[in-house]
Amino acid sequence: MNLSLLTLELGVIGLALALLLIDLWTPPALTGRLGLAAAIGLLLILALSWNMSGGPPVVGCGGMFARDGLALFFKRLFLAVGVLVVLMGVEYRERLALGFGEFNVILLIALAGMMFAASANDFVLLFVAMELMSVSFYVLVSFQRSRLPSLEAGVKYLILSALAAAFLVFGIALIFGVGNTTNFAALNAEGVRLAQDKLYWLGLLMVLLGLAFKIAAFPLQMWAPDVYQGAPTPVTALLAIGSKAAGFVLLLRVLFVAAPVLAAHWSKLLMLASAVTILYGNLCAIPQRNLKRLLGYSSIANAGYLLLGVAAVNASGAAAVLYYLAGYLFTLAAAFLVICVVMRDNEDIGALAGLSRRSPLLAGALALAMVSLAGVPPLAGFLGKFLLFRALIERGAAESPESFRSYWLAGVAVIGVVISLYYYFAVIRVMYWAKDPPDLSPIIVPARVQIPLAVCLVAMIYLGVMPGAVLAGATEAVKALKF
Amino acid sequence: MEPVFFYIFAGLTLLCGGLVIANPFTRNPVTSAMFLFLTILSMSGLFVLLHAFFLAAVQVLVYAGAVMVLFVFVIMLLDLKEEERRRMKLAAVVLGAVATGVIALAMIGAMRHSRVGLGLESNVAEGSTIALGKNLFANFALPFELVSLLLLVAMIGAVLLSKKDLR
Amino acid sequence: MSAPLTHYLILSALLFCIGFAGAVGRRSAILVLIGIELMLNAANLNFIAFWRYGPHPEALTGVMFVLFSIAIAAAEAAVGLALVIATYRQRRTTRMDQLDTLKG
Repeated sequence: MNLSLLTLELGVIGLALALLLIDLWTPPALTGRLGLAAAIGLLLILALSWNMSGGPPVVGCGGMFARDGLALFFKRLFLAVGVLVVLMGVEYRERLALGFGEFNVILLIALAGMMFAASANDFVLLFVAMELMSVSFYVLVSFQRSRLPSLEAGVKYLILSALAAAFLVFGIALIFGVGNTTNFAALNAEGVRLAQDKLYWLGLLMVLLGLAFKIAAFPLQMWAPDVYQGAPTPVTALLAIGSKAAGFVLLLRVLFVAAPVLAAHWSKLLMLASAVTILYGNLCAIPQRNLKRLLGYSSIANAGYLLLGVAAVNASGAAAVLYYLAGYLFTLAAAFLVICVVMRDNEDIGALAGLSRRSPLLAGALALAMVSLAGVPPLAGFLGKFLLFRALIERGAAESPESFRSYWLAGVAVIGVVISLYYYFAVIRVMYWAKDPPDLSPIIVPARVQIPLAVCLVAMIYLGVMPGAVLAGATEAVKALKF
Repeated sequence: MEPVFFYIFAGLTLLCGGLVIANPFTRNPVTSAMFLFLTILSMSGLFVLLHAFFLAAVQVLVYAGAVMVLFVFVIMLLDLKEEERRRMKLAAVVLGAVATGVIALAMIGAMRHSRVGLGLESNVAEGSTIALGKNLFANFALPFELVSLLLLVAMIGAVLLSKKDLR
Repeated sequence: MSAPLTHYLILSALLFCIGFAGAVGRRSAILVLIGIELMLNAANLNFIAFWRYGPHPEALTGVMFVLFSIAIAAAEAAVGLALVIATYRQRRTTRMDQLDTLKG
C-alpha cells in the first residue's frame, strides 16, 4: 500500500484521532477551541492539496484508489465544506446535547469517508467509503438526543439509508457476478460484452438507486425534507453539500469510468429522473414555512439540476456539474451560517422578520444566497445553471434523435427555475419588508462567523463574475472520465 | 448428496425468512428475531456447501452470536409487546406488494436472459483462511482499515446515543 | 455434482424480496431493521455463489466483500438499535408511524 497516495485522507483521519484523545484532557469550557483547532487543521490540509496537483493519474492500493484530477477537485471541495461546517459547529455548540469533542471527531471521519469516495476506483472501496459516511451521519443527525425531531430524523435517515445500502450491495453482487470483478477499469475493459447481459443492467440500476438516495434524487428523495429539518444545522449543511457532492462524484465514476457503454444508453432514464426531481422539489417547496425544510426541498430540486449535467453524457456536462457544486457549496454554507446564528429555537421563516435592521450583514448574506440559489445573474448559481443548460443543448444539437428530449427537459428545468423564484424571494421579502417585526434587538455577529461568511460571499460573486479559473479546473478534472 | 442438502437448506432459509416478516401464529417481535436466527444458521449451511468455511463460521459468530443477541437484548430491554393486529391500509399493502413483485419479476426476468453460470461447473478452489488473511492485508488493506474506522464511529455513536446520563 | 448457480440466484432473489416486503410492511423500527438484515444476507449469498462459480475464485473478491458487508451490517445494527433505545426513552414507542413531529 502506497501511503503517499493517501496523504490528505491520512491527515484528516489523524486530525480526528488526535482530537478524540485531546478532548479527554480538555476542560469543558475550552472545547470551543478544539473546534477552531480542527478548522485550522483542515485549512492546512487544504493548503497542502495545492502542493499535490499535477502529475499523471495514479492508481494504487490494489487498484482501488485513484488519484486523478477529479478526485483532487472533489477533495478540495470536501475540505472547504469541512472548514465551514466545523466553524458552524463552534457557533452551534451550546445546542449540541452530547459532547462537542465527539461531534468534531465524527464530522471529520464523515469527511474522510467522502474523500475516499472521491477516489473510489472499485466497488469495494465505493461501498466501504459510502457506509463510513452513512454511519457517521446516523450519529451526527441524531446528535441532539434530547430533542425528539433530531432523533426522529436520525431514525428516518438510518432506515432509508440502510434500505438503499441493501439495494446497493445486491446490485454490486450482480455486477460482480456478470463481470467477475469489482474494479471500475476492468469492468470498462469488458464493457461491450457486459452491456449485452440484462443481469448486469439490473445490477447497475440497483447501484444507481443506492446513489440516488445519497444525492436525494427521485425515486429516493423523500427523506431529505424531514432529515434536513430535524438534524442539527451544521449537520444539515454537511448533508446538503458534502453528502450530495460525494454522491455525484460516485455517480460520475460509476457511469463514466465503470460503464461508459451503458451510460450513453441510459441518458433517457437520467433525463426522466432529472425532470421528476426538479418538478417534485420545486412544487413541494412552495408551501413550506420552516426554512430548513424549505432548503431540503430546494436541495432536491438542485439534485435535479445537477442530474441535467449527468444526463447530457458529455464532458461539458460533467464539468458543469463540478462547477455548479463549487458554487452551491459557498451559497448554501452562507445560508446555513446565517441560520446557525439567527434561528436559535424558531426555524420558521417568520422569525427572519426585520433581520435587515437587526443585522444588515446577515440579512444581506442570506438574501444573496437566495438570489444565487434562484439563479439570478451575476452570482454563482446563475452561471452554474447556464453551464448545465448549455451542456444539455449541446447534447441535443449533436444527436438528432436526442434533440427533442433534450429541449423538452431544458424546458422543464426552466419552469422549475421560474417556480423557485417565488419561494426564494418570499424569504427575502420577510427579511426586508415584513410588517411590524416583533423583535428588533441587534444581533452581534462574532468574528468566527463574519470571516467565513465574508469568504462565502466573495466566492459566490467571484464564481459568478470570473468563472475562468474554476471552470478550467473542472474541465481539466473531468478528463479522468470517458464519454 | 450435495443437491439434497442445498434444497433442504434453501427450503429452511425461505421458510424461516418468511416467518420472520409475517408469522400467522404470533406477532411477538422475539419470535421474529428467533426466526431470523434460524435463517442465518441455515444460510451458513449454504455457505459450507459453497466451500466458504471461514465465512460460515463468521456468519454464525458475528450475525447469530453478536447481531442477533443485540436485537433480542433490545427487544427484551424495551419490553416490546406484540404488535396489535390492525387493519393495514389497503394502499400501503398494494404498494408494497407491487414493489416486491416488480423487484422479483425484474430479477427473474434478467436471470432468464443472462448467460451467467451456463455450462460452469463448481470448481475446486476453496476460501482457505490462509489465503483470505493474506489477501486481507495485501489487496484489501485499504477497505479493511476503513472498516476499522467505521467500527470506531459506530462504537462512539452507540455509547453517545444510548448512555443514560451524560457526564 | 452440486446445485446449479441459477438455483442459488433464485433463492437469493426470493430472500431479498421477502426482506424488502418485511422492511416496507412492518411498522416497528426494530422489525424494519430485521427485514433489512435479511436483504443484506441475500446479497451476501449472491456474492459467495458468484465467487464459487466464477472463473477467478483465487482473487477472493466475493468472499472479501461479504466479510466487509457483515462487519458493516453489525456496526449499522449497533447504531440503529442505540437510536431505537434513545427514541424509545423520549417517545415510548418504536413504531415508525408514530414518529410524526417532522412534517410540512
